[in-house]
Amino acid sequence: MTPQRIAQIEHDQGLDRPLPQQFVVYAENTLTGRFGISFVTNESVTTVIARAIWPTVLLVGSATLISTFFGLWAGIKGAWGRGSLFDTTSLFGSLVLYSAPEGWLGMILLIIFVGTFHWFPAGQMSSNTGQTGIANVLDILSHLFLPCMTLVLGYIGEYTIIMRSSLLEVMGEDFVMTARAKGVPDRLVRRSHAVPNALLPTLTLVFYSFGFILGGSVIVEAVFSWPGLGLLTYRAIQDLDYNVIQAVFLLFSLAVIAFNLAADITYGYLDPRVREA
Amino acid sequence: MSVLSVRDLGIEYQTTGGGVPAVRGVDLEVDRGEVLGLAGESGCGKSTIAGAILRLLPVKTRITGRIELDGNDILELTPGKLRAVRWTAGSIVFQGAMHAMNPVQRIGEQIMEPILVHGQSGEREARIRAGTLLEQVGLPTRRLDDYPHELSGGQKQRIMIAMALACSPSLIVADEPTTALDVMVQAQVLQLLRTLQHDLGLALLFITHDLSVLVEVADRLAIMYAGKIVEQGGAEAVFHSPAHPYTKALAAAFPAIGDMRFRGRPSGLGGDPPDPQQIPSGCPFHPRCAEVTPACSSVTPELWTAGPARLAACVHVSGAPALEGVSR
Amino acid sequence: MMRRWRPVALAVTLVMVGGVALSGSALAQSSGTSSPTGNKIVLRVGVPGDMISPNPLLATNGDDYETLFNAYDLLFNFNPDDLSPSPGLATACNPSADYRTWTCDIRSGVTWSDGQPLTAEDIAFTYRFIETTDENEVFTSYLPYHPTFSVPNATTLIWKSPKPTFAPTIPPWIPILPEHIWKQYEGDGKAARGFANVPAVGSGPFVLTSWDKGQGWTMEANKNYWGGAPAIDEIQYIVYDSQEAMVQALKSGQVDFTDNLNPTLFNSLVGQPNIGTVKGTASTFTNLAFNFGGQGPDATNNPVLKDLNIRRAIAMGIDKQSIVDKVWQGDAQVGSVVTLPSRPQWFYTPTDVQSQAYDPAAANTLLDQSGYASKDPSGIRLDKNGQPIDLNIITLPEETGSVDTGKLIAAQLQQIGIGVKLQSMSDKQIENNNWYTGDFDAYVWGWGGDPDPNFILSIFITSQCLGWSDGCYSNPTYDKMFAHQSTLLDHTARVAYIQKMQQFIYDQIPEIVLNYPNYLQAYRSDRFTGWKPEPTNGGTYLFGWGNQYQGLQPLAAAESGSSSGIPTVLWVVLGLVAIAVIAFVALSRRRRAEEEA
Repeated sequence: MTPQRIAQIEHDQGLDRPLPQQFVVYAENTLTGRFGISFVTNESVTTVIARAIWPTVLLVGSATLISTFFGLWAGIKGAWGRGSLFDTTSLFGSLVLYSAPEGWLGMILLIIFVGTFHWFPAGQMSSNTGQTGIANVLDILSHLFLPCMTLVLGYIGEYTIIMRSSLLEVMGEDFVMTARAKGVPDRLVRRSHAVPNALLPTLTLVFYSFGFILGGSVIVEAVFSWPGLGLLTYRAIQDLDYNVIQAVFLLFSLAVIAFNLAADITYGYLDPRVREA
Repeated sequence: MSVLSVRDLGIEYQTTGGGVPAVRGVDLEVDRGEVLGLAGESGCGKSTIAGAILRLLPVKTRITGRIELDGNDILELTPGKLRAVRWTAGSIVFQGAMHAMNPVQRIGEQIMEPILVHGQSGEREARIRAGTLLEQVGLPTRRLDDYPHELSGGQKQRIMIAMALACSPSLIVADEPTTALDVMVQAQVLQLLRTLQHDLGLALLFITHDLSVLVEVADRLAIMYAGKIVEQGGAEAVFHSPAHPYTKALAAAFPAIGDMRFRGRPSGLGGDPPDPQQIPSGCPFHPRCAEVTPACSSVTPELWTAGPARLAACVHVSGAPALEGVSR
Repeated sequence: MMRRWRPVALAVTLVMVGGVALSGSALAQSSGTSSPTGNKIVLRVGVPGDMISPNPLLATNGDDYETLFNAYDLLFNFNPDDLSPSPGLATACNPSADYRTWTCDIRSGVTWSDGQPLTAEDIAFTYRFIETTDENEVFTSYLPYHPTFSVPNATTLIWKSPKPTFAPTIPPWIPILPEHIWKQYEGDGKAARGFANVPAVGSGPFVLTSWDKGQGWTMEANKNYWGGAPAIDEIQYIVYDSQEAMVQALKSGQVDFTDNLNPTLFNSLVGQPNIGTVKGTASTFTNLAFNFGGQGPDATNNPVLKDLNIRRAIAMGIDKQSIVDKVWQGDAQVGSVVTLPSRPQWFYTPTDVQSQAYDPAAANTLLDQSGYASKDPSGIRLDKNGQPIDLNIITLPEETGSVDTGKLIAAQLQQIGIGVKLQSMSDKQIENNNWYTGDFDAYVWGWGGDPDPNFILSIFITSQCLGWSDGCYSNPTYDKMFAHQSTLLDHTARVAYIQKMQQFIYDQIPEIVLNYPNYLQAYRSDRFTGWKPEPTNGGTYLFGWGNQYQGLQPLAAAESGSSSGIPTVLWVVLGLVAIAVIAFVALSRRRRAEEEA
């Protein structure tokens, strides 16, 4: 590569201009949604991100729904039957999963479900066999299973623990005693009094963690070659694809902010005390 | 016939540090239309009794004796039956209305809940009944759609009373209903309770540490110390001429406004109530008693006659057996 | 509010869970039937990284080259036995007496995958196109001295060089492109590099039909291939960012072949049922390349490295065997010269190999005697200006072994009083920042390259600074030697002279050849047979020197599709468990309801 060619590339990227000017250009481009060209694929960053965003939404979205549902369920069941066999096992399991690194969990699932039992594909999002319709949907789901389970296992412990401790706290509140005294069946005490109140702090924490899940899917997506934002980030960092890295991190930050906002809005919806303030 | 009859009630909480006897052989009777005041210091076991009446205590708690509420043997009921009895035979006005209501549920729903749960009426009728109850406790019907945090302390306590009335129970247990309120509001709530009790002919078990409140509301008084009743009798009589030194101390701790005797020297009671796990021998009150005698640490006093329709557990009362060195 | 929220969440979650649970059966169905879709015989190759581009002008990594090998023909193929040229599009190229004019006989009756005929015109076009359009100079070194090309008839190509040359027989590693597709980009490098080239029109045994970026690419058999139709119908290259996943995919039969494994995972596969392992000997070497400056005014090379004694001491201070043992777990040979053991006709053993054997004591003595005896308090030697000798060495995480090798070297050089600051960065980062400016003292990287050593010897000449040169090494003696070997048209004489050049590089140490790592692959032995290692002796099964796929024959398993997916029995068991759980929940709810009533 000749020095002329290098100068040409620097000029094309605007790297020959003074730094303050580069910054102004960057700020202007960012605010107008122009993130430049990926150094690696020569496509616009917007295209690259648009291609990666839906796989991540599918993966993170399904994993979040499943882990929230089962995490909250296990937390509620554990707290309500505090000290029971279910409670001690689920608490132990939660602590183990909570502290297990996702990459490691992914490897374990790979070794069990792919290497040993041959049940699921080891990576990617589809089999690339040109199938359509239902067969294609099922194919994608089969590829989704392991990365999704990895994320679910990674997050379910946290949700279980948060929900459990939150509910335990609420169970000691006077209004739970009031409900019991009223002759309200146990199931209803839990459902209409204890859980709605325990959900308030839990949901806030769950929402906060959503914002970070996008970034947290980097490892899982890299392990399973899932073509989402996480894998894009992983590769962009490896290749020093600055434009992609900048755009992706901006997106992650926006996600954190958006989910914090969503948490606040939801909190207002769930808690009348906040709604009016 | 009595609405509530408690016989030889013993309650022992189970903790990791062993059993904690909170109530040790208590007998109580509340008749229809009667107000029984139950008084004592914090930790004497009076709120435990309130919880026991609807069997709301922690599952592991050991309860002995017998509680009969509106003809139901509470301690022997199956869980289903017990649930049916709760709030219909007896309801509770909890202390601290602040926390006794679900903060994310509209108060209308909270009042309607027991009506619906016990199948006393459909949703629409329940709502009408809830509105009526609100009016009965002096609040406008539109408050049904408010959340607890939108109400003042006094209003919340009124709501608690309305809630307690929802299923027209035979007995209402009012557990420190006015403790957290300022004096003016306290007076209004007391007034309300008394009016309702009178109008509806309710049996009311009124629990408080504030003797001066009780004397205004109660027909009879029972004073508790260290898990036992130490004095019983007509409200006026017990308050104005206490037989037990503990009652005396308790009554003296609340100055009667305008009474010259209290001026300048509000009297208190020294020391702390005994640790339930280490109750002193003999009379449990003797380490703090102003009239203690050498016999007090060895003789365990029972509720002896202390005058007409009066009982007191003290060696000094007239019904006590003669003991050496004890003056009457 | 809460009551309304719950059933919705429950329903959504159950749908998601159900969907994900169903996915197992999806795999059972899809993999049971899809692998030979419509009786298609598919070879699935797991690769640890994606193609960078199927556009020849952007070709960079092994995946790109393998794809180009399949999609296009070169002038000559490689004889698998010794990687010498064998008939390809050209059946023969004969030189004139002065070796300035080469006349090549081009195969007739060859067609492009779109049906157009391929003639000598296309070859001449391709070579001119490279001359005018290959601005990144990927292929230009194969066409030395700016030759001209003429086509007297459709089966004859005349290559005229201003100077004597043997370039046509190296042979040029330039994919022959269809003129009717690429003509429009001639002379416009930017437009040519912007051409996606998917699907690609080529003449090779396979046709690139689709590329799902980041996930993999598909090549279909060219049934009209002049060398005979391949027995397999399709190749799917599947990208695995984690090698662990790739290995598990091989174990479960989701891929038939895995390329470029690390030693740990490779060893875990040895002896597994239905899995064969391939240990290709040394198609690359790893090196510690020194920077001699010359890139420009910003070069930060430590001038002390220009002292041969320093370089020799470093060579003696590095325990190459420990790198083989610890980094490659034995799957490598200790390195010496810049040709490869897998090219026996060129590989050479230096006469004085003992002079650079690992000997830290001798290295210390050499440094003491060369004027570097004084040390700073931390034991780092001082150069002649009194500055501590601290080398800034770059390692590359994506190059297998580079980072670990760097750490070992740093520890070993510490023993001879030379400080090392390690800096880890990707190859793109090096190219973008450090390499062009010369902002480094050395790096741990490696080379592969043509069977003919012409190319690898060229990287040490002065004019390759900022071209293929590692660190702008410059030595007039060597420059003359290289120019001389290009004129040696007699093979035996050239071999002898190239041995001399290898000895020269070995003695002058512009870089230290650390070792020759084995190229590790694994395959399903129950799915295909007919693997063709290249070179025949100790070569790799794929990613070798072309034409390795045509001989592959499916075994029974490949014809019937893979057996992975959840077995039916397990689905029945899972179903029963699910019913039992639902029944238990329903019953306990009813029991509870009764208790409460």
